[in-house]
Amino acid sequence: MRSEDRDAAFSEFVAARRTHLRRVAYAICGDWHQADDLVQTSLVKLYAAWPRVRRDGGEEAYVRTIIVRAHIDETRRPWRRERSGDVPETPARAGASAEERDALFDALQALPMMQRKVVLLRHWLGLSVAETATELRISQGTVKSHTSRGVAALQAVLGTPAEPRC
Amino acid sequence: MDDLDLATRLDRSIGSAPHGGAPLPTLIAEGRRVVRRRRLRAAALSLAAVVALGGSATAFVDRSAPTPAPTGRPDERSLELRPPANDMPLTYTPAGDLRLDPAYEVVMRVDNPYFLPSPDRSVALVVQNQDGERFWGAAFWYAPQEGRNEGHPLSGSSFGPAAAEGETFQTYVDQSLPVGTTTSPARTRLVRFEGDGFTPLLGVTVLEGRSDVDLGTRFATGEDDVAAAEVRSPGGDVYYVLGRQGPVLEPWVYVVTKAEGGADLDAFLDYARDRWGGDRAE
Repeated sequence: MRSEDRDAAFSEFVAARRTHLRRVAYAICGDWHQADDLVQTSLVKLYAAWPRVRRDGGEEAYVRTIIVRAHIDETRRPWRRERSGDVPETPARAGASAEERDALFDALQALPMMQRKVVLLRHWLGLSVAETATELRISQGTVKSHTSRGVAALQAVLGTPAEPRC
Repeated sequence: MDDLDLATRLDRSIGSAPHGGAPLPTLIAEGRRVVRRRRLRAAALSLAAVVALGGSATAFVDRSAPTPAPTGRPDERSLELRPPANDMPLTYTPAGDLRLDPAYEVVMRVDNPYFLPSPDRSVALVVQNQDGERFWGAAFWYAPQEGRNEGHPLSGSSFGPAAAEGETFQTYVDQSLPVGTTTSPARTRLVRFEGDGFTPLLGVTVLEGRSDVDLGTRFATGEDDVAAAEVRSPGGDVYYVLGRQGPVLEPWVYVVTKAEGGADLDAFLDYARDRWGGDRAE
């Protein structure tokens, strides 16, 4: 693949999907600065692997996988960065009431990391149990148990009982 | 709260992204740098890749290098990051020092998976490259000893892409058992651990088990699953097993004889806490 072709196709993908990928990273880590770091790292890796990933048609899944795993790695590093005093622009949130949105997002961030990721992949992004298990490198049984616990915790905030999609 | 409803509510709770992110030319420039670095490295690793694809353990005796005898207890935590001397990313030097190609980052390390008696050494590693691609490796080192290998050290290593079809890290390590080792393979294959309990293999009996074991953050974080059990092997010997797995860590079962681990499961957990546990310094 010629360099110009790679740059053009990569640029097209970034323009189309970066906003969504930043939201995925933010939903996982709860911090826009860290989310941007994660997405930047992931997109650079995507650029390097572009010919192979493009051929397989899995650009978005490739980046998303790096995001979820990279965040795990970041939290395990003793030198994990903490930023302060550099507050990002508050994003606009439309739709449900501000109280409910904040409560749900807070509840989401309060979930254990793996539960949070499972809930997001299964119930926000619509991945199957098998796809979620593969992406997170855990068993399908673990996906189901995390789903059940995570959704139950969110239900407690929303006050609406429902069957989790296991 | 049906699925669509939850998805919608989650989407709204996350909100829209503020303006931000690195400029596209910066991403492309950094990506090009990674490609250049990778091409430079590819030449150095080409032979190693051929060996890795084979996936088999290789052994060699270095007869040219000095063969100092190790003194005292080997420091199994030491790991030198430097380019390999023999085209294998993971190797022991003739002196018994462990080396890993700095192109890789260690994700998980198991010391002495082959239960070699000191001063012999072995190690199993899960590593990843800059693209986040995982590789598994195992290596062993037999100290120079009179009457063995003509007094020369013997070492070998195996290295290859992670998660081949139907394979786990533990089975990969088992299958890379060092040439001539006297370890019983049965000791490494008493149970399987997948996070929600132990599955005894044929002929093995679980005598007592504990889940949600906490040995401190040095051994596992809150995201990891840890369990312990006392088990009896098909031959009647009693062992303690300690299983750990998590989002980053591959499932692994540590095995300790009852004689070493203590009188009962509580004693074994104290032993495990002393040996592997404790809290990480923040």
